[in-house]
Amino acid sequence: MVTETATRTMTYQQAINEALQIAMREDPTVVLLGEDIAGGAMVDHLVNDDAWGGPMGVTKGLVQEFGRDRVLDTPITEAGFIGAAVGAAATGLRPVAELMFVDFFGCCMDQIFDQGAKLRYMFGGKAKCPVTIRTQIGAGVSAAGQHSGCHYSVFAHMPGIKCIVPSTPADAKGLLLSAIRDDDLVMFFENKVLYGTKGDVPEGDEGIPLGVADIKRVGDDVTIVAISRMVQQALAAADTLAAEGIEAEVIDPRTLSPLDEETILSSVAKTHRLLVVDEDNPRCSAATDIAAMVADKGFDTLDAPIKRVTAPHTPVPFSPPLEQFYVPSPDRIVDAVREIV
Amino acid sequence: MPTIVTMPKWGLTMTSGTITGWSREEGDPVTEGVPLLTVETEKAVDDVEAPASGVLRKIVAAVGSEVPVMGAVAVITAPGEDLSDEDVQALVATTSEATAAASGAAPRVAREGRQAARDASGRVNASPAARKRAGELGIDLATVEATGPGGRITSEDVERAAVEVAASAAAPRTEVFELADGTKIAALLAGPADATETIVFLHGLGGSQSTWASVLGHFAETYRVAAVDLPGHGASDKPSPASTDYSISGIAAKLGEFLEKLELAPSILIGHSLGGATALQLALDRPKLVRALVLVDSAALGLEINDELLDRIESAPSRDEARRLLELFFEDRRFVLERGINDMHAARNALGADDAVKAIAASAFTRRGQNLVLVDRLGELEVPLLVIWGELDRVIPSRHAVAAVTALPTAWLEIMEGVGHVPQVEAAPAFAEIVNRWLLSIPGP
Repeated sequence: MVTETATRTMTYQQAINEALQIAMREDPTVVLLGEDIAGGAMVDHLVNDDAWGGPMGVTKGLVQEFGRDRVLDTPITEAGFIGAAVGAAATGLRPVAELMFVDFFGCCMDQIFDQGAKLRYMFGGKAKCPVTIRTQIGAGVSAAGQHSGCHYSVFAHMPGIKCIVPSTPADAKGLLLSAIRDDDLVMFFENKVLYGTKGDVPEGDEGIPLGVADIKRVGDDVTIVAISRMVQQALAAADTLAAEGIEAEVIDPRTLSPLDEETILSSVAKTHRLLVVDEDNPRCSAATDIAAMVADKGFDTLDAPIKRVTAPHTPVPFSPPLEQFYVPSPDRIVDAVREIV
Repeated sequence: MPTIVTMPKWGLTMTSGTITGWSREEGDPVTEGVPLLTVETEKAVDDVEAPASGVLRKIVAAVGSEVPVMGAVAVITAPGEDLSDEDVQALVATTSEATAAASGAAPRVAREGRQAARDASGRVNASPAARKRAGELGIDLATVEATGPGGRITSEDVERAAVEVAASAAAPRTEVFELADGTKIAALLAGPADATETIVFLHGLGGSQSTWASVLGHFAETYRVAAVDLPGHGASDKPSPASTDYSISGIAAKLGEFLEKLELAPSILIGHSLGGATALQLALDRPKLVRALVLVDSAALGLEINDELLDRIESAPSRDEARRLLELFFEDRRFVLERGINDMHAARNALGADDAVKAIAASAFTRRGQNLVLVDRLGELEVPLLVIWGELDRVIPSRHAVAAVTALPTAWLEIMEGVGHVPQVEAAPAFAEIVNRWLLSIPGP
C-alpha cells in the first residue's frame, strides 16, 4: 500500500532551497560554493546580513543555518571554484557548486568535462566525483545572449555527466536530492522563468530516481516529449488540442542523461506520432537525439514524420519581441501537432 | 425496474424490422409472454412477446417505423412503478447509444478517407506503422483509404480496412457452387474469415437451409458455417429425377463434391432427418471430408418411418398439406406459423421441387420402412458422433437414437424432452448449447 505523502504549495525556487537544506542537514560533507550564494563575505557591515542568497535568492537563509564554512562565497572565477568543487568531491566532500548562468560554461569546461566527468573512468572506478553543479538556463527575461541559453545538450553529449532538467517544483526538489546523493558529476539545469511557478511539493526527504520520465498528461493521439519549461508550453498546447478532439500525451524526460527511452517508445507505440519540444538550439541537440532514437527503435510504430519544435539556430536575442519569437510557444506546438495528426 | 422492449433478431441475416402493429396502447397492462407487437422483416411477419409483466409505459417506435436489431421499441414499467418522461428518454438513449456503438466506432479524429497518395514510381504513401500492420494483417495497402495528412495511410487506416475485410467475409451471404454435372448447389455462408473450422448444416426432406436460421448465429460467432440447400431443395438446382441420382448415396456424393469445392474440408457435419442420413453416408464413403458428425432426428438409424410423412409427401403440395406436414414435425403447435406454412407451400411448389422430393422419398422410404439402415456400420466411423433427438418425434422414433449409441458406445446421446422432430427450431438455444458443449469436448483437428 502506498502511503499518501503530505504536500505543500511552494515555488520552484523554494523547492530547490528546501532540497539543499535537507541534503545539508542529512550529510555534513555537503557544501555549497558559488558567486554571491551567501553574500557579504569579507565585508564587515554585510557579513551577518543575508544580502544575496544567490542572484535569484535560491540559497537564501542557508548561510545562517550552516555557516560560512559550508556556504562559500567565491570570487568571479568559474575555473577556480568549479575546479575546487571537483577536487573536493574527489577527496571526500559532496559539493554543490552554482554556475550562475550556463552560458559561462566555457570558463570552466576543462574542470567539468576533462576532469570531473572522467575521474571515475580514468581511475578504474577507484575515484568518484560526487559533485552537483546547479546552473540557470532559459530565455524569457530579456537577459540577452550571454545569460539566456540552455546548452544542456552540450553536457548530455559527454559521457560521465548526468543531466537533470526539472520542470516543476516537486521534480526540482526530488531530483536535486538524488543529484546530491549521486556519486557522479551531475548538472542540474534550473530554468529561470520557472523560479516563481508554484506547485504541490511533497514533505520529507524522498528523492526522485534519475533516468525516469514522468507522463505529465495522458493522451492517445500524439506524444509530445517536452524538456524543462517546454513541459508547461506543451501542457497549454494540449488544452487547445483537446478542444479539437486531439488528446496529446505529454512526457517530461526529467533527465536527459540517462534518458528514459522506454517510456517514450511505449508512448509512441500507443500514439504513433512524436513531437519533441526543446528550447535549446536544434543542431546536435537533445531534441534531435530523442527523434533519432525513436526513428531507430520505434520506426515500425510511427504513423507520421517525427517533428521538432525548437529555438532557431541562433543565440538568444535581447529584443523582447524577438526573444518571444525565439522560445517555442504553445501556438507553434499546436501547429506542429496539426501537421501530423 | 423498467424493461426496455427491443427489436429481436430472428435469424442470422436480420438487421432491422418494421413495426406493423401494436396490440396494446400506452398505459395498458401487459403480461409477460403475451404478444405485444407484430414485426415484419424481409422474409416474415411475426409477433414479439412482452418480455415482462407490468404497464406499457411508452411506445418508442410507432407503426411503420423501421428499427435496427436490439433497438428500443417500447418501455414497460413494473406494476406500481413511477417513471418520469426524462427517465424514459434517458433509458431509450442508452439503448440507442449501445446499438450505435455495436455497429462500429468512428475514428477519434474524424477525417474523410480518400485514395492514398503515390509517388512517381507508384509507391503508396503509407507510414512505417501502417506498412508493418498491413504485413501482419495481410492487407494490401493499395486497397486502403488514407486519412493521414498528405494522403498518407496510417496504421489506424489499415486496422479499419482489416475490420471491413473481416466483416464482409463474415457477413452472411448465399453462394452458389456448380458441380461437375452442372448441378448448382446453393449455401448460406457466414462466420469469421479467420475461423479454423467449418460446420456444414444439412436439412431434411422437403426443407431448406432456413431450418437452421435460429441456431446458425450461435455457431457463426466462432466457426465458419455453411447451411446447404440439398439438390432438389431451396435455391439449389432441382434436376429431373430422370437425369439425376436422388438416392441418399447419390446426394451424399454431390455433397462430397460440394465440400471439395468449398475447400473447407474436413468439416463438422450436422444433418437433420434425411440430411442426417446423407451426412452419415458421406462420413462412411469419404471419411477424409468429415471431422465430426452430429445426427439430429436422423434417418438411416432404424427401420421405422411414420407413414403419415409419406402420405403428405405423396399428396399434391397444397397449403393444407403444408400445414399438416408442419403439425407432424412440431410438438409445440406455436411453431406452426402462417409464415412457415406459406414458406413450405411455396418451397414445395417451386419448379421441379415436388418431383425431386417425391423421388428422394421414394428412393429412401417405403410403406415397409426405411430402405437404408446404416446402424450396423456405425462402428466404421472414424470421427466423433453426437446423436440428438426430440423425445416426442412422431416422424422417426427416438429409440433409433438409443440404437445408434448402443451400436457405437463412444457416441454421445442427447434426448431433448418435450420436443418433436425438429429440435433445432423447437428448442434452438438448448440445441445450440448441446452442440457447442460437445464440440468443445471432442479432440481438435
